[in-house]
Amino acid sequence: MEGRGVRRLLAGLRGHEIIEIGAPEWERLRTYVQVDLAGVAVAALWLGVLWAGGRREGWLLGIVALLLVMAAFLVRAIRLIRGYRRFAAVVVFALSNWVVAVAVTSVAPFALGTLTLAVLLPVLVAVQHMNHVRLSAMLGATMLVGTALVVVGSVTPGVGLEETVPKAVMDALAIVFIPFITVLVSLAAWQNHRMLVARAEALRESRARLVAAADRERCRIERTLHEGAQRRLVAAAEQARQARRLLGVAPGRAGPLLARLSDDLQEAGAELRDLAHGIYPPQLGQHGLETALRAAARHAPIPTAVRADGVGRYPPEIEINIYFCLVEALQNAVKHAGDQATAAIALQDRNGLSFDFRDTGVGCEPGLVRGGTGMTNINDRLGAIGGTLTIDTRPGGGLRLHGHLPRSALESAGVQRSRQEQGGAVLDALHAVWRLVARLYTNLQRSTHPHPLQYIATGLWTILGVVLGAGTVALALFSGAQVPWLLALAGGCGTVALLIVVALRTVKGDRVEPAIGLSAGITWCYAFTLTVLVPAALPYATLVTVSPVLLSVAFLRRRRFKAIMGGTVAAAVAVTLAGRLLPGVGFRESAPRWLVAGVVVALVVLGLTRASYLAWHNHVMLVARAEALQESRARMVAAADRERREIERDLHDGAQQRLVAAAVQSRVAQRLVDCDPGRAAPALARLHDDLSEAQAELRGLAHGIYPPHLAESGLEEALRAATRHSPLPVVIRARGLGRYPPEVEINVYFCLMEALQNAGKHAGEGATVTIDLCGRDGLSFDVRDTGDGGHPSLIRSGHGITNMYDRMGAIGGTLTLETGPGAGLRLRGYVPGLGAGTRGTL
Amino acid sequence: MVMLAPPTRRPPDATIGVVDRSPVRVLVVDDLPPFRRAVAGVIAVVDGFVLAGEATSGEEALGFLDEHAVGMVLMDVNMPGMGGLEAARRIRGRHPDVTVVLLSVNDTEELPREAMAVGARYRHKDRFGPDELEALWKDGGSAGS
Repeated sequence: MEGRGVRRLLAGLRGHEIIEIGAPEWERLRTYVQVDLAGVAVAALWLGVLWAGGRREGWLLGIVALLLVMAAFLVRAIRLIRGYRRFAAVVVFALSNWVVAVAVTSVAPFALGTLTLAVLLPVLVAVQHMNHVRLSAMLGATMLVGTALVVVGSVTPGVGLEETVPKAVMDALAIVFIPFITVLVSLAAWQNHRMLVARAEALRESRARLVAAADRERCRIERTLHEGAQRRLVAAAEQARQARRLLGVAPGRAGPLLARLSDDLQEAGAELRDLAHGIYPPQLGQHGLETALRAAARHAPIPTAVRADGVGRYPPEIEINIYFCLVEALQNAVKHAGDQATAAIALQDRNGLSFDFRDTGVGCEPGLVRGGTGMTNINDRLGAIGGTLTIDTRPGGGLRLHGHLPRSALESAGVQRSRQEQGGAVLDALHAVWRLVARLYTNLQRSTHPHPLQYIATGLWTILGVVLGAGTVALALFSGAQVPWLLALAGGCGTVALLIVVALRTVKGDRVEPAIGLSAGITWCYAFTLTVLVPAALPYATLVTVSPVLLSVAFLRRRRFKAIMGGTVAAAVAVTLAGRLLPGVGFRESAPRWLVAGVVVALVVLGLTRASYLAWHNHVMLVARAEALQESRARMVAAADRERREIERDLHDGAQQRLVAAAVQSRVAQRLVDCDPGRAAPALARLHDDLSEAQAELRGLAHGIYPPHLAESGLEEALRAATRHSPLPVVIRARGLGRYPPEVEINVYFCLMEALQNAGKHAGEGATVTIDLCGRDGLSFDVRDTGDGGHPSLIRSGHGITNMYDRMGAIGGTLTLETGPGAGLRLRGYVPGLGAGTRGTL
Repeated sequence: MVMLAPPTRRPPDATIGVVDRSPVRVLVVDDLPPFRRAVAGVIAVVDGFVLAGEATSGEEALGFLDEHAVGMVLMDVNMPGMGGLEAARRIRGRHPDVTVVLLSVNDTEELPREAMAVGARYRHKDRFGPDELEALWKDGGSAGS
């Protein structure tokens, strides 16, 4: 019974799994905070046991109380994560670490070495969870807290615990906790490393999925138009013709025929309206998200409530994506939640736009949700506009989806919100602190975008400086005191300096991985030697020990990264043992106290700056690597959404209005047949003409959405059909071309259409276009025009070319462009790994 | 009882078609020509109605109403510019005697919640025809029903 209670308590503390598709972040953050909590619990337990074991001293209880406060903070952070408040969770996590570190150090300065790394830890966790501004504020805070910590630890006398606490206890605490925090730092770096890889992969996959989904939809719309409205229109035009004929021979039969016609037209209109509604609901554009969602909820087969708080109007790409996310969620609930389920949608605009979808259905195993296409779709859509999705479900517990579009995403889409973020002034001040530190540091580095080799070189130069300084001091002291070991120390420093000069030469090469490995080795040896000689430098040495693992985040592959992690933990153990157990050379005893304090403060601030800058660099890399893909995906989704709106507009303003008008006209004709047959014939003739026009318009529209030739006869035929009416003469040559997966055919087709449109617009009159298609060893095309050409950079920045790059990228292909003023334009595209006849299913 | 109201005034329900025989002047408002043409055709075949004019937007309709006598406005909900709902609200504010009928391809429950408060009546575009127009006028009731 008791065991179950404990288990339930633990499960409640953990909460059920938060699911994210693609690149999970929340779950990792939570695991991380939980590991930290476990560390705190162990420390508190240990001190509690010491107290219980006979050491009834007040300081022990004081520290236990502090640790319990920290544990409360951490539990709060876990609860915040469960409430999807990631930024707040990281801040609470950071505050708990910082407050306890400074408080413990002020009571017991000997804990400085153990706690220096704990100050750095939160910012490393924050790297992947914050935007530029928030992270730089966090770095500013880290610098301030770190400096405060080392000043408190070096200057204040504490409460005299060194005299009362046995050295063995202090040593044991340091020997356990320094490696423990090093492990946490390494894990944070590992998570950042994995995220760097995973985010790019997830983005690439998501882009491909989104493009495939848009193409599938085009195909579906074309089919629906072709098989539905178009056929009905053909039949209706025929009926109008028949009615006109009957007017002359059997007027009595014309009336019922017209009644049937108006019913048919009404049905066709309704069908077209449903189609247009599915493509882009008109209420969304006219009345916004809330009204459109209420309409969708009314039509849902399960009772659905919609609540909106502070929600206004947003740019169309945001409204359409959030709308379709929620409609997909609703469809999902209808399919899987069970008959008795109800759903609730809540929209809120506070610090960004967020939605919360809950159903009271049967729920499911988290693994099933992760693999489902519905959730992947929602995640892709939301990701494309800069949002995140989290899913919370368990068997019997319903399903909860939480989507959040941060304020920054809204602002970059042009939405202005006057509300000021809480604590804005503090954030700005911390941001300014970090800007100052970063500026000083980059001046030192002489580059704002440092290469890893430059980092390594500056690190080695710093070590060289310290070693030469120490050697000189040792030599100077030797000249006075004539102690032999001082001479040996100076000699050792000289040897290390020589080694560093050799290493600096090696680093000048261009191979990053060996350079990182070499520098890691030297850095760890340096930290160890420094601590052996001067145990007071332990806090600095712990920071130096973790710098290689932070540097490796963006540059090493997984296996080597793990090796560096292992090395870091081993080095941390060695450095701690040296710092706690060896006597050193007596720097602390012989030098004045202010000098020792000054040196330790300067070294720790230096180490902290370097580590913080590495964290910042990792953040920049994390964002930069994903940026190009993120932009490409956003562009593709925006283009697809624009297209949806255009198709809906075309349907609504064109065929649908014509159908509605024709239905009304048929009723007018019906009335005229009864009361004024003389006027009926011209009315019927007009009706027939209108129906024929509507039919032609619909055919043109369907053709533009998805060329029917493409699905039926393949790329070559579709291109020939499309270029028949091209304003420029086009020659198409095809070799070894077969059929390819539909997503490849449609994307290559639209790329070539774009190229032709481009040529039509810019190549000038009298130009000709040649298209070569080759199906051997993949699928390649070569489009050349004899037009005016242009400057490559000008053409590359064009909308059409960007679209082509995105389309080719989405199917794993490449596009190259050759042009020059007066030299025409040549575009070559290549999709690898496709044999002719590899047609699959879309 | 003698009804002396000008044709722009909507007669009380009981007297419809009995006393006031002057035709109802109808303004058709839609941004798309095919439907305007079709509605004009309906008005032409139903006795007691005459086309007062056509407008392509809410703004244009308001301008027309300021200068011409109109008994009924047949207006599309979905139009560029101020849109049918806002135009209906303003027409009802400025010309409370004018019956405003909003035509939509959507069902009324798909309209925003404030749509019910603008004081207009709603009809489905798909089902509109001579019978519907006659029924609209015969139904009478307050213009906002």
